[in-house]
Amino acid sequence: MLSKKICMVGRFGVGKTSLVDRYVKNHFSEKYHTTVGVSISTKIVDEHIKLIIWDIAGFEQENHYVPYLRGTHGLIYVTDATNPSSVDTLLTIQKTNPQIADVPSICFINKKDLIEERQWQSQQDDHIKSISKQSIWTSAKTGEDVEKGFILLSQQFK
Amino acid sequence: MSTEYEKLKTLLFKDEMADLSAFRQLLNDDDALAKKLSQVLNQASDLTLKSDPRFKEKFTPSNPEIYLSALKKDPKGLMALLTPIISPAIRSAVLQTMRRFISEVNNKLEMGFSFKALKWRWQAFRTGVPFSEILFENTIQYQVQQLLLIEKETGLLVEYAGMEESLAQDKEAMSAMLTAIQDFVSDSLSSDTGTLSAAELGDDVLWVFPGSEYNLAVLIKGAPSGRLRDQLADLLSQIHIKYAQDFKDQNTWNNHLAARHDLSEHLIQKDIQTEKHITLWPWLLISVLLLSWLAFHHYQKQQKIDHMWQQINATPGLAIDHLELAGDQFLATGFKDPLTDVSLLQSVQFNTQAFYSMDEALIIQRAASYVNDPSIKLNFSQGTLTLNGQTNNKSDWSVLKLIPGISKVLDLTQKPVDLTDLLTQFLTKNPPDEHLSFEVKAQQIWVTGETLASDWESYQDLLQNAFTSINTDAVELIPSRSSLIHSISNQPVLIKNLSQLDSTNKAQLQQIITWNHQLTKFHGGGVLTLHAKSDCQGSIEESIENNQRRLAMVQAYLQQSGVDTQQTQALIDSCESITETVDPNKIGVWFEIK
Repeated sequence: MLSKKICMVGRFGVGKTSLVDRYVKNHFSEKYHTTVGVSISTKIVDEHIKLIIWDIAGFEQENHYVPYLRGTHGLIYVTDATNPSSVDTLLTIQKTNPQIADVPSICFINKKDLIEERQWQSQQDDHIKSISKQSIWTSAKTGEDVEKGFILLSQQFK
Repeated sequence: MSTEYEKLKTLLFKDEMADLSAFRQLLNDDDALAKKLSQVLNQASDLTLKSDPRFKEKFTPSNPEIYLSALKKDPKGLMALLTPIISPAIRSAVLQTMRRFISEVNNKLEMGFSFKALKWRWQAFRTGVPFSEILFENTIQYQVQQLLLIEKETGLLVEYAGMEESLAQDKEAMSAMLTAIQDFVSDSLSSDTGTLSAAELGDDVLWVFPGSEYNLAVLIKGAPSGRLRDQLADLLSQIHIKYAQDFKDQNTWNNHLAARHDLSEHLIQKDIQTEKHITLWPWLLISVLLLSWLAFHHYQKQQKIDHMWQQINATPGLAIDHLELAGDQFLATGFKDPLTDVSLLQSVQFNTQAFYSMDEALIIQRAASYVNDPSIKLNFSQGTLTLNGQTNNKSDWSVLKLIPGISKVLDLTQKPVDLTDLLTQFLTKNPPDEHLSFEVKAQQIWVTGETLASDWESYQDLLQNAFTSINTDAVELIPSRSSLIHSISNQPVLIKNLSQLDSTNKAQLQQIITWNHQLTKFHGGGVLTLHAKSDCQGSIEESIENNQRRLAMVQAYLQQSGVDTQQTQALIDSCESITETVDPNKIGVWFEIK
């Protein structure tokens, strides 16, 4: 079984930790807890791949997250469907870290369940396409397509 | 021909010739050629490296002479270049060496003189095993529990050895966390030269050894030695050398038996000594004090018991086989004669059975209670009871043989002798002083009266030889004549009052009368002469008159006391001169025997 390092990337509050919790523990909490530093979780996808998921915090602090990205096999960009500016954060991250441009990735457009609060426009879709070849609308709260998103990323490793 | 040929050539290759000329000019002009080549050199080298990786070696000269030459040319510059790189390494090495040195010194000191060390030295001497081996066996204080070989770049676990179930986390997660922590520490401290190498949590110690490709994280319980650090650092180096090529294929990760075996060899599975290090001396001191107190307490108790045993053994009629002390009270078990006097053994509680004691004292006591005659004295020796004394009781004392212990009775009692007859016989044989009286009262000779002290001593010896019980308390011994005369002469009666004699004067006069009476009675007497004296103060007439008055008072008292004043003489000592000071010690009456 191959282990793959996966990093969750995105600005604070977009739901990175909730997505990991939903995927690893099938659990969701309404309470918001800020992640300090990095949180590590593991999940066996199938008999061939085990994901080592790095839930990284501190994307608002310049370059503090960079050491954690080193050697990563895959990236999950997370953005908030109710907060279009969270896409800008992803663009900034990618711009300041060109070494991750070729890393297999997927973009989770999270908080799909908050339909009324959604502020998503075609401009954000364009940005997402420039960030990652794959994207998926997810809801950590309902669990919709969370596991599917992780599986889609792991399929890129084969 | 040639002109035409040149023309033709010019027509056909005019442009090419111009280019060729330009190329030739470029080749001849070094500056221009260098400028041109520099524009494509980067791209050309990339293409060359792509097609032939060995090309790179040409740009990475490994000839040490280059460095030596540079060092000779500018040693300070090279030092300045190297200092930031090697200084942290030097500091780290010095620090590690110092720690190891201090740790070893501490161990040596601790192990050198302790009781445990002496015990191990004895064990080494006894068994022939080197002391160092025994020391190591007994002092190992750590346990290497987990070894994780972690890929430096990704933090992924490459190989693992240890008890997986003892890990609180998934080993893969732990591997990633350790890497994350290292990244965090390096980032936080902005350190390019080092990273987290050790962490401690309670008894657990985490060591991280950084390698070029892989890090080795080691989880240790207890206090590891400096030597272990060296061994683990060597292990990481060996893994890099032996398995780095294998580990390029990720499929070998967590599946490499040889690497796992190498890691496992460094798991020290020896149990940590659970014995806590305690300071022995206070406990030893407390133990010694406690033992001393117990010993002293036991000694005191034993002393009391021994003392009581002595008392019991000295008490007739007791056959005690067990004695114990409970609090302040003794408990004695055994046998006790009913006649035993235990009044001196108030602190003993007797749990005994009655028996007839063969103690002589109790046999005598038992016989005496039967005889019931205080005039009969009893003696017992070797089964024979002897009766002595004077008594009118002539019972058949052979019945006393019924008392246990008495096998023979010897009756030596006599009828009591008449003391009055004996005294009469004695006095007839030895006539006493006429002033002494003799009387028999309660089988005792009573002597009363007066006698000369010089005669009494020899007579008393005669009495004591003849009689066993004599009372001479009422005998008054009379001194010698000279002694009486001396006493009378030295007893003046100093008179302060001319009207009457005071009590002291009267007591003094009574004593003089007694002495004078004894003198007359035992020594033929003499004339008692009274001398009235004064201090001669005032006038001679007055002194004479006062002396007469004092003399008259004394004479009157003597007469009242039965002294025949006809047998006395009274004189007044006249003053030869008059003094001005009063002297009471010169005023009174003095006596003389003529």
